[in-house]
Amino acid sequence: MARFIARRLLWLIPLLLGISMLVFLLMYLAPGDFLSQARSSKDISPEIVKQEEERLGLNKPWFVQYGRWLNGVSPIKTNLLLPEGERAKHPAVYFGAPDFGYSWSYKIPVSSLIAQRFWPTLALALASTFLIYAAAIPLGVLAAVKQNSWFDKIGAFAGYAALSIPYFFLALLAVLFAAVTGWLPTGGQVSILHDFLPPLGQFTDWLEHLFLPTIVLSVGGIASMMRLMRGNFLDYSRADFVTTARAKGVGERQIMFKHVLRNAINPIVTSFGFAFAGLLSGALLVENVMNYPGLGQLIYGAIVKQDQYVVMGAVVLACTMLVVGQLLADILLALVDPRIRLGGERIPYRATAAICAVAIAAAVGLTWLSECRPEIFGALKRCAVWALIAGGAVLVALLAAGLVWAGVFFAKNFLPQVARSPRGAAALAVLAAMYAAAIFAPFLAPYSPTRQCLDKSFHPPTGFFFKDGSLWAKVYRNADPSAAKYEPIEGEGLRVKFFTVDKNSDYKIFGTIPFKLRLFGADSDQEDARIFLLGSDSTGRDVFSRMLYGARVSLSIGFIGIAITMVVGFLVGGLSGYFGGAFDFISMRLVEFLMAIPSLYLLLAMRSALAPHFDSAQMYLMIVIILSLFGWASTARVIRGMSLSLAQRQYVLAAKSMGEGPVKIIIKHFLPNVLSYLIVSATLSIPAYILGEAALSFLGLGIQEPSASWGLMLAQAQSDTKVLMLGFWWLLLPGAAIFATVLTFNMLGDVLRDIADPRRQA
Amino acid sequence: MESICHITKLAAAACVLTLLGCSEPPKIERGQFQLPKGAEIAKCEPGKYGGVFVLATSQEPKTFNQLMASDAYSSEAIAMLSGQLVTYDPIKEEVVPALAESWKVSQDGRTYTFKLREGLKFSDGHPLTADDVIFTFDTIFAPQLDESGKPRTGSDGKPLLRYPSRYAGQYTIGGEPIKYKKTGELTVEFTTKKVYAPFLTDIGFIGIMPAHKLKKSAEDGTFQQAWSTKTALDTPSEIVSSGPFEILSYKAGERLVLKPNPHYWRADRSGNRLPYIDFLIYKYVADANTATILFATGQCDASAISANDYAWVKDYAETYDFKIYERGPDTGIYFIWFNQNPGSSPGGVPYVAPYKLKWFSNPDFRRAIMGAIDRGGLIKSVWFGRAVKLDSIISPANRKWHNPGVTKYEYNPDNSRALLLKAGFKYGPDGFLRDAQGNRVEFEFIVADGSQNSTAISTTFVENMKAIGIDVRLKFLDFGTIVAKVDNSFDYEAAMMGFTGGGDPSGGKAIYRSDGFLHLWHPRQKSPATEWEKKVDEIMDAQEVEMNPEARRLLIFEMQEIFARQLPLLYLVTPMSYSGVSQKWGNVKIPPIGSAIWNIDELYLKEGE
Repeated sequence: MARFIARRLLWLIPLLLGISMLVFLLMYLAPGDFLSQARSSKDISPEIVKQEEERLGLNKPWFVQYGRWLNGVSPIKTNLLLPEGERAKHPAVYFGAPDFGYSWSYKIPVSSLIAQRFWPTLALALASTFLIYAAAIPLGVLAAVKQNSWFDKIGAFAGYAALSIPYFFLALLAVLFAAVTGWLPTGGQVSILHDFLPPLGQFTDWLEHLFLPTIVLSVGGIASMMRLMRGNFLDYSRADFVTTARAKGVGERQIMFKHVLRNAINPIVTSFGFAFAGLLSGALLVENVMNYPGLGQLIYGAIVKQDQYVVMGAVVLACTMLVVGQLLADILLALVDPRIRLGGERIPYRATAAICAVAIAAAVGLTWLSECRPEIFGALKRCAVWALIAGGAVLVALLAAGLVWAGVFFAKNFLPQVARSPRGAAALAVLAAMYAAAIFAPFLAPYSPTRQCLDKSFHPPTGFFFKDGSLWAKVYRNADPSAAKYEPIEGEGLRVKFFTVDKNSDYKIFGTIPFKLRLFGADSDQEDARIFLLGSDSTGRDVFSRMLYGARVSLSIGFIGIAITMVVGFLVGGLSGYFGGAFDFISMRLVEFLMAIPSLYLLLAMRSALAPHFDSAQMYLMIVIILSLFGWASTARVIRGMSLSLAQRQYVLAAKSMGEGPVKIIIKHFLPNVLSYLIVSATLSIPAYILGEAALSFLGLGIQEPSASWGLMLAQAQSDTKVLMLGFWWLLLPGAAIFATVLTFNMLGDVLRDIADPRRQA
Repeated sequence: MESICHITKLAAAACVLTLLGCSEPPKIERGQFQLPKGAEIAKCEPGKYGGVFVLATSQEPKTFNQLMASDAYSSEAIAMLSGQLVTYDPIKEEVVPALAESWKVSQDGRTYTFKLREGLKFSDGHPLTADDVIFTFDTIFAPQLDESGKPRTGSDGKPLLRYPSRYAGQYTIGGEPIKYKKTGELTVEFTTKKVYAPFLTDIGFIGIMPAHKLKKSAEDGTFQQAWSTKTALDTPSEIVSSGPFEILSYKAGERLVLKPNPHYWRADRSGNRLPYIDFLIYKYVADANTATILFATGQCDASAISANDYAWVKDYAETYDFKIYERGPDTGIYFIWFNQNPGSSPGGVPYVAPYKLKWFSNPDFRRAIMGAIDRGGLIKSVWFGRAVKLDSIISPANRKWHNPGVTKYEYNPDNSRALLLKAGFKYGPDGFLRDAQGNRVEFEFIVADGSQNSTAISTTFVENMKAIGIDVRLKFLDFGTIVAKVDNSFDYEAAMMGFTGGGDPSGGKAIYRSDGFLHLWHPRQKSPATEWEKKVDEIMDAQEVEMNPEARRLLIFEMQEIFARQLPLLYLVTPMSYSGVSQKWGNVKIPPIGSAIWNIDELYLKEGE
């Protein structure tokens, strides 16, 4: 045990080094720096900016800046990395307390800033963890005990709903709730007059402010934990020892609570570490929307302002907590379950050392080239770009093949069974309708998604009526232009014309054939005669049309994402299971590395580093790739486990001895065995992409105007306070659309899992 | 189910406890120190002591050391903590005495003599004298010394400064730092090399720093770190004040609590020392939206309200007993511009493709674009009518300097098309605009991502351009990236930005002058590239030495007309601005421009509130 812990903690060192370097490099690559604001200010002269640049070391190459930071953090320091003026004050090598630098924007040490913001986040995470366990365990047990009762069914549905609602959307609704009812504070950690309250009042004031964020942050966790608890409980209640106990005449109550519950609760308790670590990154969105001054808000602000050292310090902290959380989970599991033994894995030292040496040499060499021989570096970069394009083409071919194969497999093995289950059929039908809507958006949408009508901003959804045998849309007048209050004009209407030609349409099929047919439109020659099925936005664009076009982004992103993660995950997992040894060791460490990165933080940094080089359409692809970069790790881990055991099967050994190559074995023998798992886990991970894109767009880092995506539309509704306060509710519909899509995918995934794993079926 | 019951119980318990927990803020001791001999008697209605005034803001001070502060937000909080020689009365619209009770200007207009009030003290009771004024200026101009103790000079031969501050450059007039000397215990004399018209508003407005607290750090080189936010965090009493308030406590990211300065130099008619307010709290929130919500729900006492939010905030005025004052157009200017920089990157690539540069530098092209922007429609749809078209480089809010008679451009796409045809552009059968050489007119338009307004304006611009056959590619970038492009790499075609405004037009030198670093379309020109830019430079030189206010105003008017005719910047709209103040405060006087609570020291809690 001690060895295991020591090893895991040692592993933390290369991990933190790698991640901090990555984050630092990304922040360096992001254009602009902390002084950007100062540079564009008319009362700060360029000379001051220059002096500040010098003082902050921003004029040095990135590795010198990183080296300085590292030197500060490390307890063993060298004076070589100090600024010239201070070099003489210290010996060549000396000891010193770790120093995380100071925040450029707050002008106080990062350590004290983080310490101050850490407690609110910790309180939030602890309160949420507590709430999750306190609510999920009894609810899960109850659902299992009363399997198939109304409680179980409602619970299952509520669970789906809770899992499908994006954090930030829920946070938004919570803020709205607080603002409208006035029962709870709308944000902050304590109230303004907190300092003047008596101690007890201060405590309750603090609790009050913690209440809503905790609820918002826990909802998803409660749902998934409850489902897990229910499943485990059911599994164990069918176990042999339960039958034995029953046969021996043990009371039902005792069986349930003493035998079943204690077994079923094991994995739940041990997932504490993971749950806790996950909450920390979930807090980023919640804290930002709910204005809760914790670490998440600090990091987001620091990334936006490019306050380097704060970002670095916070990322190191978040990452450490993630690893420690996982370690805690493993230790807890070993403690409660004597069957599990920690450690024992042999480390292929020589191979590892060799690979590390090569990696370090490559990194140093590249850095040297980029500084001293920029022309060679440039040539290398061009080669790398070409290699990437070639690799990308191969990957695309693989992906296409993979998708087609998986599709055929799905249609053959799953489709009939899915269609037979009512839930599955419903989910399939809804998804089919949604995808059809997205594909035929140019035909279904009455207007081009960018077409404005500045006279009719924030127009409510149009009402309809029947007259003379045809459908009419009501006409509205802006009764109060100073608050966009529209009223229908009695007796006036626009006849709805089906299959109309829109002369303003500039859509072209495949970018060449002009297409002007619309499903419906107003039968009028007037420029601003519009039918707003779902209302209009701040410049009078049709929300319905924008949502249809936005669906193209939100619905396709999941497919492309899972295609990448599944193919890469399968290849890496399969190969490392097959080969074992050094390849396995290295690739699993890479997997752990990726899983230990607080992904949202890195996504933020990555997005701002890459943004200037891509336009909106390319950015879309960039986001998918960034999201899937993290997604493949967990798949690879599971596939590795499966292929480790497959590799020992007789037929695989036989194939090997007959001289079949690894790639052939993996595709021919491994793939059919794991495909079911891949399809189920792919379906269940599509929501993560949809939510991921929405979250990025919501933070202003995803799809950009004038293109539309659901997350972007929702972000615009949130940033414009009057949308909520004046009740322009139709602008929140994209949130409902995200919710519905994710819900459907979750439902379909569940049905698939039941089919693939019949043991789970009720 | 059990746990749900727990939660309800917990919530109920929390509610009950909150009711029990209400209590009064601690009392502030008053009147323990005598008023200074030279105290100013405020002309306001005498009020009574007490009350907590809460302000919510999304911007935290970065430092409490005002010489090191480079942003407006630090300055806002610092203004409560530091007195200046003279100040501006926004109601009278003139400069009035502050720490200095009077000043004299010499015959030639180059020497100003200030006389400090008698008996002034900092908040720790230490006397404030001419030495502190001298110390402040000494610190601004402190030279950087090398090991041998000689002043270091930069590559341009000018001496380097020990502490980079925004003031050193500002107080260098006619190429020479202003001269200052102590002429008595309470008198200081300033001399400029040449006549400097905005002397009072520029030099008189500096906050006076206490030599007895800061001399040590100014001498040992740690001045930049002195009075940082950390000082406020750990030892707030170290930051001594010469303004109406002093710091009680500070928590980064949360709040700053101020209490009255017991040695403040203003009193009311009944001899009671100002300010009346017991506590002034700045609450820091994530964004301006949150601040507005806090104000609208009665949780803070004053707030600026954007034209965007006015529509809903007014509905809460009755419930939470506040009043919203319309302040007229915003002082900022917002515009789109084309890159007209004819230079090339170090690699020899022109910043702007030569054929495009030809369009961009053609004033008729810019006028045609200007006439095709539907600003009226934007005002209606985005601001619900609460904005005005901007026509000049100085906002109409700046009533003293704004020229209302400049050339204006109305929305008329047909006119724009005709203008483009006349300028040699052609429309193809596909409806796209092409130049004489047959290049399709299209460009990339970079915008800082962020507010809903900039999104609405930029997407409308794209649609408007589509209507006259021009293809615009919209690209949202970080503010930092945009600055890097505009200021350094110059590789962009068109962009959108805004500047805050107000104050004396000499503050806009960097924008107006062809050698200015914010002369966005073509900054830092060695010599003016066009005739009209040369003319603007001449006007800017002339106005600086023009002592006749009316003649100076006419010069600034002329400059605005040149900009309006040449249109290097295509002006957009200026939203109206609003200020809300809770009705429970007495002595609220809203000036035409500037802060609504400029007289915070005079505000008092009305009877019965």
